[in-house]
Amino acid sequence: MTIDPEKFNVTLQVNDFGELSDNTIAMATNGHGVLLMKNNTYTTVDEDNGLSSGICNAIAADDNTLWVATNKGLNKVMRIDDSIKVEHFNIYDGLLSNEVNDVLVAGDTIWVATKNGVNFFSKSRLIKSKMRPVVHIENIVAHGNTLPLHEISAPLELRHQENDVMIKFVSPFFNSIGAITYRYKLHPEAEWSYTKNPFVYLIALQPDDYQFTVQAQGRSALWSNEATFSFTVLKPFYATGFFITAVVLIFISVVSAIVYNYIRNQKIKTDMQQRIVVSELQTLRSQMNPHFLFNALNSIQDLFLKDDRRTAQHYISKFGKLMRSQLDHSSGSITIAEELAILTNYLEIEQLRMKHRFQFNVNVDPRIDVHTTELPSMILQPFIENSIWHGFTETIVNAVLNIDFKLSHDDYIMITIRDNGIGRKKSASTKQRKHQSKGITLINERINILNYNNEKKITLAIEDPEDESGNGLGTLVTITIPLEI
Amino acid sequence: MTGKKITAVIVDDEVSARSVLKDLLETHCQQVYILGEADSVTAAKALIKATRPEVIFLDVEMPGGTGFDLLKDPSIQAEIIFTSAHNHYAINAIRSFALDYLLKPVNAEELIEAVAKVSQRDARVTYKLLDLLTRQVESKKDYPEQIAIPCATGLEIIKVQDIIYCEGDGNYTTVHLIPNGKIVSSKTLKEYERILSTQTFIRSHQKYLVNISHVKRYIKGRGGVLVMANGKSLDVAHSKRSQVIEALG
Repeated sequence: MTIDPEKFNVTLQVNDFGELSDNTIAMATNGHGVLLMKNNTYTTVDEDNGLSSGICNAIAADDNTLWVATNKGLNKVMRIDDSIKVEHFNIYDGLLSNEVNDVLVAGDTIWVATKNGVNFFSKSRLIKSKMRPVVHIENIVAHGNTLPLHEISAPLELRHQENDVMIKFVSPFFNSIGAITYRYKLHPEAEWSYTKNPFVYLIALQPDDYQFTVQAQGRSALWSNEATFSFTVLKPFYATGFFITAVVLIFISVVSAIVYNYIRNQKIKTDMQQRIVVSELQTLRSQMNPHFLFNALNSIQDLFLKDDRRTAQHYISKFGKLMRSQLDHSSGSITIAEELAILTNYLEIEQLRMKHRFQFNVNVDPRIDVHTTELPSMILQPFIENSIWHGFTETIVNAVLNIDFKLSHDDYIMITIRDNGIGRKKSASTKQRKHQSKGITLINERINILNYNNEKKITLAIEDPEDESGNGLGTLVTITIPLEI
Repeated sequence: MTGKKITAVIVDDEVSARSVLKDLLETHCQQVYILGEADSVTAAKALIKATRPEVIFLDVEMPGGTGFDLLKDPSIQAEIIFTSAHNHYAINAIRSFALDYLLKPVNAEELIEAVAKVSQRDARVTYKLLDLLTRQVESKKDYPEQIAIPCATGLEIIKVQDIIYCEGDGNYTTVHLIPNGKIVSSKTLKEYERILSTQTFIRSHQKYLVNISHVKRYIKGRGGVLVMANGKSLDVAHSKRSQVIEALG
C-alpha cells in the first residue's frame, strides 16, 4: 500500500519507531497501525492485516520481526518475503493487561510493560501454533431426545419428521471463552456457516445424507481440527423407492384390470353385435327367398308378355321398393308405418304371383301411433310368407290373411297373423317344410338376441286352432313386442 | 298441375335409365318437355349451357364425377330432381335439405309428385338449398350443419345446433329451437332421427329425439326426465335410460 506522505504530514502521530535489519523504519502511529518506510516508500500494517489495534504505543524491532505494543495486546509482526503475518497476544495468553505501553527485546527475552505490570517471556517458546484450538461434537438433540455422540454406534438415521436437529459442540480451550468462532457445514462441498454459539439448530432438514463438520477459531485466528458427524434424514415412507414402486405397481394392476375388463366387455359386446349381424344377414337371406324372387320376376315378365306395360311397370317399381326396404331395414328398428308399407308391398307382389288367390286385411289399433312406434325390423315377414307359401294351397278357397296390431298392457304391441290355410300339421307332410322350419329357427334366434339383456321380452306363440270336430282352421301366430321406445 | 310446359334435361350415364325416365315422363308428365340428354358431367355442362332447362333430372353417381360436381358450377341454375339407384349417404344429404330425389326403378306416382312439386317451388329457395347441399357434400361431413324443414309456410332453413329436441306426433314433427321457437314439420320423427343421427342426438322416447347438448339436467326416475334448455321436461323411456345416461357422460 502506497501512502501519500502529504496526508500523513498532517494527521499522523508517531509514538515510537524502530529499524529493521533491512533498514526499514517502522513507526508506531497513534491510530493508524504501524507505518513502514523504506526509500520514501510507505507501507502500513493495521487491523486489515490482523493487527489487534491501530493505536500503537511502542514498537521493538528484532532482526526482521517487529513487536508492537497496542491498547489491545501485544502483536508480533513478521515479514515473510513480501507478505505480512501478524500474531497477537492478550490476557488470555497470560498478559497482565491488554493495555500494553511498551515492549523491549533483550536477547531471547521479550519484556512487555502493561498497565498492570510487566510480563516477560522467552520468544523461542512462544509458538502460536500450539494455541490452535480443538473442537468436539458433544451431543445431538433430535426430536427432543438428547443423543450423546459416544452412544451413537451405527450411523444415525432420523425419521423424516425428526428433521429438526440441534448439534452441540465444544472447544475446551480454557482461556478462550467468548472469543471462539465456530464454522460448520452440512456437506463436505458446502460453504461454511459461522456462529459464536457452541451449538447449531438445523431446522426442517430435507431427507438426505449429511456430514456435519465443525471447526473452532480462537484468538489465534487459526482454525481447529475438523469434528465431523454423519447422519441421515430418511425419506418419508411415501417417498421411498419401495413405496413408490408399490404404488406404481398397484396403479398399473388397477389400470390393467380396468382395461382388461373393458376389453372383455367390449368383446362380449362385439360378439353380441356379430351374432346380431349374422342373424340379420341370415334373416335377410331367408327373406330373399329365391323362389319368391324369381317367381315374382316371372309374374312381372308375364305382364310384359301380355303387353300390360303399365301394370308391369307398377310391379317393377314395387319389386324394387321391396328389395330396397329389405336391404335398408335389415337391421335396427322401423316404424310400424314403414313396416306396414313394406308388408303391403310384399303382399301385393305375392298377390300378383298367386294371381290374387288370397286376400289380406291389415288392422291397426287406433291407439297406436304408427309413425312414432317402432318394431325390430324383419320380424313379421317370415310368418306371412309361411302362411302364403305353405298355408294357402290350391285347395283353399277364399284364402284370407288377417294381420292385426293391438296395443297390449300399454307397453306391448301384440301382433297376430292368422290364416285360414291348411295348418302346420298338413303342411308338415309337404316338401317345403324344411324351408319353413329354417325361417322360424332364424326368427327364434333373432328374438333370443333381441331379448338379451332386456327386461321386457319378445314372445312368440304359434297355434293351430281347430274346430269342434278337430279340423285345422289354419295357423295363428302371436308375437308380443315390448314398445322399444 | 299447371298446363305450363316445363323444360328439362336428363343426366345419367346409363342409357336404359335415361330411356325409362323419358318414357315415364312422356306417359305420365306430358307437361315436361325434354330438351336433351347427357351421359356425363362434362356433357351435361355443355347441354345445360346451351339449352337452359328449368329442371335437371340428375343421377347422383356417374363415372368421372358425381352429380354434385355439376352443381358447383354457379352458372347452372335449375331445379334439380336427383335420381339414384341406391339409398346411400348422398340421399341422406339430399333429404336433409328437403330436396327431391327418385330411387330407381322409378315409381310413376313418385315421379308425378316430384314434377308437381318442382313447378310449385320458389326457385330462389331451391338455389339456396342446392348451395347448402353442395357445400355439405364438399365438406365430407357425415351429417349436416343445417337442414331444411318443410312446414306450412314453405321451407325453413335452420342450424342443427339450434335444435333442442324434436317431438313426434303421428305424421308430424315439432322441431323445438333455441331459445323458444318451434316449427311444425310434415316429416315423421323417424325421418329426423335418420337425418340427425349424430352423437348429439338421441331418441330418448317414442315421442322425443333430443339434442344432448341442450340438456340442462337429468332427473332420476324409472326412465328419468330430461330438463331441456327451454325449460321443458321430457320423459325418458325406461329402455333408453342407460343409453341416455351414457350419452350425457
